[in-house]
Amino acid sequence: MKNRWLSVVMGVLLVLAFFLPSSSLAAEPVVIGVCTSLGFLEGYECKYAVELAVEEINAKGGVNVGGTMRPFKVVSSDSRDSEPGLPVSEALMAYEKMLLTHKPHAMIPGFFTSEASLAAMDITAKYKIPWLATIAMSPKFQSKILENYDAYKYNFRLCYNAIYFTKAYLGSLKMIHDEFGFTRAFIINEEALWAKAIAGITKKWFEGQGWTVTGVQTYPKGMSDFSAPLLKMRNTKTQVIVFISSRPETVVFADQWRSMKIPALLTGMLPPLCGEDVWEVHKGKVKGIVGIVEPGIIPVEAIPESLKFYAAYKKKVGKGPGSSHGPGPAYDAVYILKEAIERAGSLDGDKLVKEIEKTDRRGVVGRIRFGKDHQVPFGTNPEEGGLGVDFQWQEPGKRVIVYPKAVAQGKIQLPPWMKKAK
Amino acid sequence: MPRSHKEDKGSKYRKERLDRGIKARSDSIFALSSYREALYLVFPRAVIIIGLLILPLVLDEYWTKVLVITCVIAILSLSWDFIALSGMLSLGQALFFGVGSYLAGALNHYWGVSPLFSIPLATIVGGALCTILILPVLRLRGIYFAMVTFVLPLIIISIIEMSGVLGGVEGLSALSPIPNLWVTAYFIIFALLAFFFGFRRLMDTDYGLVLKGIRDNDQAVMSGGINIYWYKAQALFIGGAAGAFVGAFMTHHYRFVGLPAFSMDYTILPIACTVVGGTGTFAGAMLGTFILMPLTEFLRAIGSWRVVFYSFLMVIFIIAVPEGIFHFLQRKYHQFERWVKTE
Amino acid sequence: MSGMIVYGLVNSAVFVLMAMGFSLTFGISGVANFAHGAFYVTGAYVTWQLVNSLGFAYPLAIGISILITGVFGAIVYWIVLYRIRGMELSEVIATFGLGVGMLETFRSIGLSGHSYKLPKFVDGSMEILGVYVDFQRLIIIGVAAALVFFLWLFSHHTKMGLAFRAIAQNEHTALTFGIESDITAMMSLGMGSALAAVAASVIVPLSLIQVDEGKHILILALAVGIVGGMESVPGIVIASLVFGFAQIIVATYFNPHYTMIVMFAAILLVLVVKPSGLFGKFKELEERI
Repeated sequence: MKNRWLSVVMGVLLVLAFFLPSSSLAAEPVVIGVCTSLGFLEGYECKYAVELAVEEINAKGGVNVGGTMRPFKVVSSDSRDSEPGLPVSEALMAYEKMLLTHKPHAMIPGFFTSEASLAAMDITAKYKIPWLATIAMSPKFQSKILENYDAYKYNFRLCYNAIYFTKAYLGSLKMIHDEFGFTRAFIINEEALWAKAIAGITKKWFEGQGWTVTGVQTYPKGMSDFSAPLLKMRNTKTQVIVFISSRPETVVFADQWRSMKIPALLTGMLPPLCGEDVWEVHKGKVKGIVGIVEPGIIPVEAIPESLKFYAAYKKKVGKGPGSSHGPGPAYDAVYILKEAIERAGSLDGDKLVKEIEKTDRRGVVGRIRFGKDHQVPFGTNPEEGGLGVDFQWQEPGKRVIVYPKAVAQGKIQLPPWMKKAK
Repeated sequence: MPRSHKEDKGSKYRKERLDRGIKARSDSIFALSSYREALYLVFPRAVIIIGLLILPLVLDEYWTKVLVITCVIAILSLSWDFIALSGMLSLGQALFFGVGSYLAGALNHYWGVSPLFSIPLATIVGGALCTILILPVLRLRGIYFAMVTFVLPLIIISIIEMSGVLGGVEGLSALSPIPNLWVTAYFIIFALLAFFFGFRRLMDTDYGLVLKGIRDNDQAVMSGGINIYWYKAQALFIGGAAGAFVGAFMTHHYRFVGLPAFSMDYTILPIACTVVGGTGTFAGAMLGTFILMPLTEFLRAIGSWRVVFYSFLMVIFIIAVPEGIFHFLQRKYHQFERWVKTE
Repeated sequence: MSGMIVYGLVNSAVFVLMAMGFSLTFGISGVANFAHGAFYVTGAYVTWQLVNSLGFAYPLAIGISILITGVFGAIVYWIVLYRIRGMELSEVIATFGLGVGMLETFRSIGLSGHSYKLPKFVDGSMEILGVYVDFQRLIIIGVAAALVFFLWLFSHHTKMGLAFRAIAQNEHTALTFGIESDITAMMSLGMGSALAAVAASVIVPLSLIQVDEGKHILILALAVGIVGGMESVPGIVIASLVFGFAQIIVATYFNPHYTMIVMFAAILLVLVVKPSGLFGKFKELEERI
């Protein structure tokens, strides 16, 4: 008796597994698809940002699609694409599943990793919906759009990409040089495509400007002891450390930099150390570190939209954003989508793309308009384009903006165990 | 007269299991005396073959893709089962898969070899390469063998990451695709059926007998004057080639190869599927795969809990139902049970 | 130069701590605990929960966590491994599946990000031989040394320790002495897990609690065990020293990149030349088939 039961149950399971109808939603709301690494900081914070914008818009009545007011609806799924060892195909499957089950009208903020984002462009071309990216940073995104406009025109990026980011960063390095007279730098980056690219660009810039690059090293994932490179930095009298990594090793490195009292300024792309609660969690040990974020993560007075966003986000989530880029543009993206829909009067992908291209508004990161390559240009003037701001952690736990000059709040302070070169 | 053992409480009953009459006559000697007996034998196999062939026609595009991946994992499970039947425990299916993937990818990317040739080439060279890599540890006990197969994919990942060869962290993309979904689906289905029936046939021959002997008691086989290392290497080659084959196939299916080709997923899934289905008979691996893979696809909604689900399922099955589902089904099919009064 | 010596020692200590639990279990009961990394993460997580959610004092939390992890390990043996003891295939698959399952469970409940951090025991650093070392790393060296000493004491001078060695040497003979192999195996798994938790307590404060670390630990433990000889404590220590200093040397003179390669190359080399490890004795005869 029991055994027969078992086989019946198994049989039913088998059949069900193949033929269970997938649920579909009513066509009424305008659906925004959030398919990204929801387990990671940038991923879920962008989701909050999107939800924040959707709540605000829905509270005012929704979006006007050719005469009818319809609400926005957010559907999300975890693509896990930032997990090491996860095949890109898995992420793509998650994307396709979302497309088939929920039929979103647009995708925000796009995948976490550039690898997955690039691979997804072909799928997006097939389904013809706008893809507004705010996390992945590879400039290859842009070159593909330029190469094959008709297929890839659905893709846009609102956050800074590796090139603009590096430009912002290099600007701050120049400022450091002018201020302190430093000329010796050491670059250390994680084992990732974008990090290597930034390291390469930075090295070339240093050499072009006459700095001495005392070393360029790549560290493997999972490295837990940076004493060797740190000692090397000390022995070569390095004055500025450029650390490029979004992984937790950043914490280990910063910690060792501090306890080994290496006489160099620690700067770089250090997302794990840029969030608001970092000072508290690490009990002030991040003091003196210079990092880069986009406005919105830190309220920038010169950009009122960033102040508004920061306050609204904090109210919704309970604390400010902890990532270094992503949520601000994701929030803007929803508004941009809304405006494009209202201008186009429909949800048709091609029409939306045309309207999105015409976007010119003030957003959280500065002025948002798209270049031919569907990327928002970033610079040093929030009136002209987006902004990447450098800040330094200073007592009593504030992130003081030190660059660009247009929005700076304070000056860089050297760590106490270090002396000026001038 | 009490009709069943339940009604008659007075006497003691025991359960008796007997082979069906047909089986006694048809198990391995095919002296069948009626069409009914022939049907009995053919039926399970026919279900598999016909079922697989029909599925792409019935399913929509998304589920056909799922079917393709299921077949791929099924072949990996078969390969794992084959290697296990020869007495080796491989924790490195990802190794075979990854090597095959990269070989096909490299052939296609650097030398423009079309999938028609790159897949067979990658299969053979991949199998050989993996065998050579594992050769040094063939002599070791099961645990060490398992450890090395576990660690090898990670080594290769490190090397590729570090040196940036073969596309490094970025991988190789924009590789030639397989013409269309129909070709893809039927190609892999035929391959699966070929591997499935091929492996079963192989194990029934004398060659297979030697392999099974090595698993059971290698010293006895050695004392029979047979060089077990040579046989083990061959078994590894065959299993490895099967793994490399699907790796190469997937490279062209996704038009991309990268570090994730060596991911742990490709090791765990086949083992979980085979354990659930039943080790030792290839049909168990197939069954397990076709149960588990659609199930996990269906559970995609729960995100990373999927992995938790099938790893714990694997553990539960290996403790509680070590023979797997297939053996249970097989028993039902081949035997019948009845209650018999004891004296 | 002196920096290299100091930090080489630190790294070696880290290896010792990570590998000791695994090789203890394997050397004694023959069970390769592929869930070792998962127990490491469990130890750290339990400590974190005790401190942050239940408000325990830090040292107390560590102590309880070690105990819990050890008991958990013993329970795992009882539930999972007891029935399949001796069947290598099943053992490996079971512990492997368990390890992956546990790690992925942690990932799924959201164990990622900065809030999962354990504080250092003592902040600050001191100067040794001209280079600054933080106290936590010095504590690691201390704990590792203490552990080695304790294990030596345990296995040579306590009844249970001697029983462990007896089972490792020859199970059947030990059985005739009334040393129950199942209970011993359970103990060894418990101890191995507890050691993993000890390692976690001192090493995790250096950075964050990470799920991926679990996989990493397993590989390191395997590497050290294979090279040094699974069941011999001196072997583990020597192998750890080799790895620790090799890493530092490679990182200093070449690129930190290559550190993993060195480790893997060492594994393969040892397996080909002397499979039971540099110092492994007991299993040697059963090695070559």
